[in-house]
Amino acid sequence: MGNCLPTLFGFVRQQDETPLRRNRSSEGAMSFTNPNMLQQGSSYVNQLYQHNVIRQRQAEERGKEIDEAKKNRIRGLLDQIPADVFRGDMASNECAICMIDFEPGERIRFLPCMHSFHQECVDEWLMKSFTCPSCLEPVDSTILSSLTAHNMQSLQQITSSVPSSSAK
Amino acid sequence: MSNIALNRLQRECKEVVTNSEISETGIMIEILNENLTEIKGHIRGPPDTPYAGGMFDLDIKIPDQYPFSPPSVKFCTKIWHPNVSSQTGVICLDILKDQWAASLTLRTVLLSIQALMCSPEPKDPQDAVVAKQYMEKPQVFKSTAEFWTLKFAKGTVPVNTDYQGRVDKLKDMGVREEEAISVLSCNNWDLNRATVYIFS
Repeated sequence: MGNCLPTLFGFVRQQDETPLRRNRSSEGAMSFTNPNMLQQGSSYVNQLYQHNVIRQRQAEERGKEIDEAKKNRIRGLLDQIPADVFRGDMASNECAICMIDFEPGERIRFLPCMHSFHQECVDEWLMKSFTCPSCLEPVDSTILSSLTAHNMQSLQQITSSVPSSSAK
Repeated sequence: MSNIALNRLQRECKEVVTNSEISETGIMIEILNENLTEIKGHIRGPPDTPYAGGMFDLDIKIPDQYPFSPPSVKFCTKIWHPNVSSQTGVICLDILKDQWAASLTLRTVLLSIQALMCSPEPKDPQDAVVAKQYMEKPQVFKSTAEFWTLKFAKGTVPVNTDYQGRVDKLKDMGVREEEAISVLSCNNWDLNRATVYIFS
């Protein structure tokens, strides 16, 4: 829309500068009404255009805010997923995302479904989709169950050492 | 393209190229440019399907975010299949859209497409005309798919002389062969309806 306006104005200006200008008096009605109509039309069009641009910008900003909030939420969740430095005696050996073998000393993240990846690789994926890249198991719901399993374990440890706490 | 993507693609290409099961599965890839963004895939038509004996080529484009985004894959060989557009070759397959996972590879994608060729899913069609024919006239679908395999994928089944005759009639009227086959297929090989469709 913004592109057609300059050409319209350009067209009117060009017409004014032609030798036909001499005949202006005979065409008075035309030359007076036409630019007026254009001006009225253009200010209305401009308003519409400005509103549109403002609305678009607002929508973009809102979208960015939502994206940022989502990313922050995921970052918070990522902290709850166990990660460790790879050691030679660990069972897994290849990252299914970059297809490169784990080297001792690299950061590895273990998802609740027991699949493991380079932390750098899997974090990028989890930002897009909160599922395991290998089995598509949603990480969200399983986090809770694995956490509770963890808690159960520690509870059991407590109960075995101090029998009185088992009543709770 | 990121380092992860380049590394992975190099390994994937090696995987497909060196894999000994290629002769059994009939999938192959061919690298078109050095930075591995454009790749050509080949799938041999699975036996006991209308595509048997044909060789189907696919265009594979690797996005910048690979493997976090799926590759875009479409048939460049024309194919008559409910989940593939008979006009553009676009494939309707969940793992190429929302079911993509970063652990999927070019090999698993091509194998999935091959599996789709074995068992079409007409309830989730890409080409509604083909899907309708698949459900309502399975025999016509089968012979049409075979005819397409022979014509476009260098298939080896004997030519259906009945269909070829109708194609020739349209060609005599100045219609290109590809268009003639396409329009006849969409009209269940009814020559009159195809003629009306083309010339009206």
